[in-house]
Amino acid sequence: MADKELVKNVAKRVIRAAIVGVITYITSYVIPMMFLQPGLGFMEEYVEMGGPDPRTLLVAFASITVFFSVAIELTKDTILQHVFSIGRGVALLFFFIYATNGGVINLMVEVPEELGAPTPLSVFLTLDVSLLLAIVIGIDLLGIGRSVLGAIHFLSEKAEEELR
Amino acid sequence: MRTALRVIGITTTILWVFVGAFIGITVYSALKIRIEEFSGGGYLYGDKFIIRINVTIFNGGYFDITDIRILTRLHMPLVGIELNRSSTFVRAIGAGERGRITHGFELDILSLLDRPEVVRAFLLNSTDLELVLSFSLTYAIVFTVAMDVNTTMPWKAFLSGFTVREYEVSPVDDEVDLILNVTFKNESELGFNFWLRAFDGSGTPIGESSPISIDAGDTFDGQVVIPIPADNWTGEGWVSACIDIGIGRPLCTEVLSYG
Repeated sequence: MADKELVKNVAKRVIRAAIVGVITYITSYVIPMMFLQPGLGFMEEYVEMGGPDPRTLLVAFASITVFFSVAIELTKDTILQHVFSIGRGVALLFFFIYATNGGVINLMVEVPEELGAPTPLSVFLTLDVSLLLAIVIGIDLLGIGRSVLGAIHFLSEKAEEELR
Repeated sequence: MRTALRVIGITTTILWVFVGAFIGITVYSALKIRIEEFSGGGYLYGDKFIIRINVTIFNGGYFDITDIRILTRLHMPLVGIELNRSSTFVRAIGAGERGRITHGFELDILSLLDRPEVVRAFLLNSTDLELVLSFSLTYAIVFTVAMDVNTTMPWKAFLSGFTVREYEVSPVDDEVDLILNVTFKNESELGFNFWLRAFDGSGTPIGESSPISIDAGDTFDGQVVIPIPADNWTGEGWVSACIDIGIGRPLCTEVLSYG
């Protein structure tokens, strides 16, 4: 009877994790890719990135979010849920810093002659998003803090239950 | 604790939604900015070469464009000389407003010719001049965009490849002839008069050759004689090559040390 309960519980977790994984995959990769696809073709042809290219970044972002969403769902109502939650926050923190090259994104655009440039021109673009990165890091740290508090709360409740 | 965690969770979610929405609106807004006019031209005014660029920007987005800076630099990489630097600053073009930016680039030829290293480079070196246009602005307070465009334009020197193959000193009656065998090519599109001027060791001019007319694209290969009064001849000094292109003063640069 207990085995049947366990199998049912695991099956429920796996189904829930699969659903969450698919939803996360769609929202973090498929939908952004639909919007970015037209621009990515141009970027790959004419733009030289100072850091990693956008397609790789999107794949990395989707991998992080899908992996941690599935892991959190699988380990729900255990301490591992909070561990993965903290892990996701930390991984995204480093991802944002890496993706924005520390807040300053450098691009080199080769302006093709078809666009009206008299001679082939190189345009160097610097996009300073350090203020936005600071805001994103702030929110991410808040999320990490929440996960740490959640873990403490979970452990304290468990200890209380054992004492009863 | 449970309530506090829930409040932090909701707050974090709301903040993520705000950031996402802000980025989305900013990108959408930035796509509504239009450059309505881009015109410009260069002309000679007195002894200044002036380039004016007019840009009219319509900011159709929801955020202000602030701290617009345009900087142009003309630079001679071969000798590392900056020939000119001009900048324009516009404080803001508000959301829904139209802003006209006029950027002026003035090359003061006479003040450039006061710099011997510039005159030397212009006379002797056919090289590329590098024009760097830097443009920066802040959009929606948090995004700073800077753009650098590099382009080159060829400079064709008046005395390109100037070489003194050999020189000799020949006393004639009461003067000394300093005879130089020189070669160079006028790669510019201007004709000019060319002559050589001799100086003694203390920098006093002691003699000058007759002017020679050089046409655009000509190559000169021959002897130039500088007659020097025997009393002024000290046996050491230097020779300058001079040209007159009709700007009211000759352009001279040292080409030989003798003695």
